[in-house]
Amino acid sequence: MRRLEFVITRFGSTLMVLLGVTVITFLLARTVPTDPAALFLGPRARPEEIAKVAEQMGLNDPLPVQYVNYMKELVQGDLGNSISTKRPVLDEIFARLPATLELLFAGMTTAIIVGILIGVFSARWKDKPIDWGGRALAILGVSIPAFFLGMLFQIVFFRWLGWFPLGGRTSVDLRFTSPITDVTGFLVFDALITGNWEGFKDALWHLFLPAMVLAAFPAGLIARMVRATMSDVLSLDYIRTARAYGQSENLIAFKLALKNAIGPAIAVIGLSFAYALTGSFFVEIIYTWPGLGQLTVNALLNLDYPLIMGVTLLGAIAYIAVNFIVDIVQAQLDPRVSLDD
Amino acid sequence: MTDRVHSDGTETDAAATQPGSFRQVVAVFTRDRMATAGLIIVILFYLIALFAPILAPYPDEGAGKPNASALTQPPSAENIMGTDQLGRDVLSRIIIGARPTLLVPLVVVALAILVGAPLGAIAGFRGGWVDTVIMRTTDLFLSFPSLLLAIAITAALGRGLFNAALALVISWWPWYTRLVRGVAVSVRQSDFVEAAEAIGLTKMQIVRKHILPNSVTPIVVQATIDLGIVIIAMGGLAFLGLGTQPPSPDWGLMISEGRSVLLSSWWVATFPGIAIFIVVFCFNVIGDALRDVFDPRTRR
Repeated sequence: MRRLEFVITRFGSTLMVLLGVTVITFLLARTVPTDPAALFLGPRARPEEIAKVAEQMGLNDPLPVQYVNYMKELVQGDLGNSISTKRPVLDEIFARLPATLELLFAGMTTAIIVGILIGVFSARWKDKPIDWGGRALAILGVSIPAFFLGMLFQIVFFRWLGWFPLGGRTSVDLRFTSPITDVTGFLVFDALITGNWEGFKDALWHLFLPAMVLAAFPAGLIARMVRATMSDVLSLDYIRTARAYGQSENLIAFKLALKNAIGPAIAVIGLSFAYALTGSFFVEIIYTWPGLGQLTVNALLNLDYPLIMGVTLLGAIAYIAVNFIVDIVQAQLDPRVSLDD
Repeated sequence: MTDRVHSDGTETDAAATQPGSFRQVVAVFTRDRMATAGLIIVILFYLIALFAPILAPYPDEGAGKPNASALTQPPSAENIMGTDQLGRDVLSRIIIGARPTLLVPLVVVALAILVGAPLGAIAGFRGGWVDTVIMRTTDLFLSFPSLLLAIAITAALGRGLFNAALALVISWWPWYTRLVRGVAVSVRQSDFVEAAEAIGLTKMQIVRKHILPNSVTPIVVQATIDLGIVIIAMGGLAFLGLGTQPPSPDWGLMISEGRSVLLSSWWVATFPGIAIFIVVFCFNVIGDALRDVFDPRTRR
């Protein structure tokens, strides 16, 4: 019963935060220096036309009225129209979303696995060469900007070694040899379930470098956190007791300690996701990955504000949702986690 | 809970952080050779930024003047790091570009502390509705991925170094509010604050004399690591064309400019990339060493 109560209360506060987030994106969209109506009509519009469109767009209403209208449209899934393509923002976003989700999923999965491994090994062999190596790797991960690591990998793995492609989601000629049927939009997954072996190999081969680049920073964060929480747990009494009973260090670290260390370490996954989300913007530009990041960067160049604010709002919602899930999972794992903590 | 996780993923359990003195900070560097090396390298880079116009071999090119006679030349005796597409000496661009790349994040983090820390002290010490209002606002800002919020703000304000810096301050102050509030809450319950109240100090005086000084160490530890993150974020904004505008140099912008010739002339993007990496790496090493000492939670 208390669990349910926890989830409901947490959900309530999440909704409040979401409401606040819409206020911020709304205000940001309205601080834009250029007149949205003028931007919408393009450079050759006459002043009276601009005034008319401004009236239609409700830009002359007081701010609170504008906000209420904005919210009315928002709850119906209307984020306005893109200025450059004139298509609904939500359509534009959904068209690009699967590519970004595939990249994020691959990157975060890698980051979580690699991060936990490095952290656990570091803590198990604390102050030994393995630990030094692990810590160095973790710091390396959080010190290389994604936009540089991406290009470095292109030089090394494409230019010099020729192991991986320069960019894109698939080879250009794959469309003719063995096209991937669109099921979920996750190309690697789609190719696998439709039994398209060639397509699967090709998509995975293209996904590898961008996913690795994206994983570097979150993996570093997770590794540091796991190492810290593991070290904490390893100094607790029950571990000392286990040692006194002559249990092997490996059993202690990988079985007894890990179980209790993983709970607090999960908290960092939410934050890692935030970094991966913004990291994906850079990775997508560098690897010409046709996802949300590319869409946003083009929007930045064209001053396409509805699109920029749409992506920002969606990013915040995704981040809030991930944090919500992380909290729930953490509460499940650790009965001591309480609401007012 | 996620509420305590900081911008670098550590759980800043501020209540457990020890006040620590300046002497202890010095002690970190005398004991930890890695941290000392990191500190020396960081100081070197900042000195380079300060004296950039004197140190750059070709200051004009560094500032953006094209040189049509030496387009994309590989590293050589005259141009140790080669030249870019406009024939400018990459080393000079890096040296001059150290100013926006390194000095601006310093200002950004300082301003974020200046805004965030007092708010956190007030929230933690006053409690009640003041606390609620301040902390709910903080939560709101932190519910955006920080860099995404900074991108949106820069887009709304208009591109440029000043607006990018302002956007980062707006997205970063809440981290410090949260940090200092934790300290304030724990200090409020301590005996010496009770004593201070008993002898009639006002709340503002207690905040100034007890809470802010006790927050210095956690803030320094956090700011060290944040500087690395903000340098990357600032470089990222420049890379997206939102920060420093050409022809001015900036490491993030240089990496972005080098992308078009990446495969034929690797040096244009690689050297500024290495520069950014070294500085951020050093900040992280220093930050880790400081945290090991001052956060008993992670102490060995």
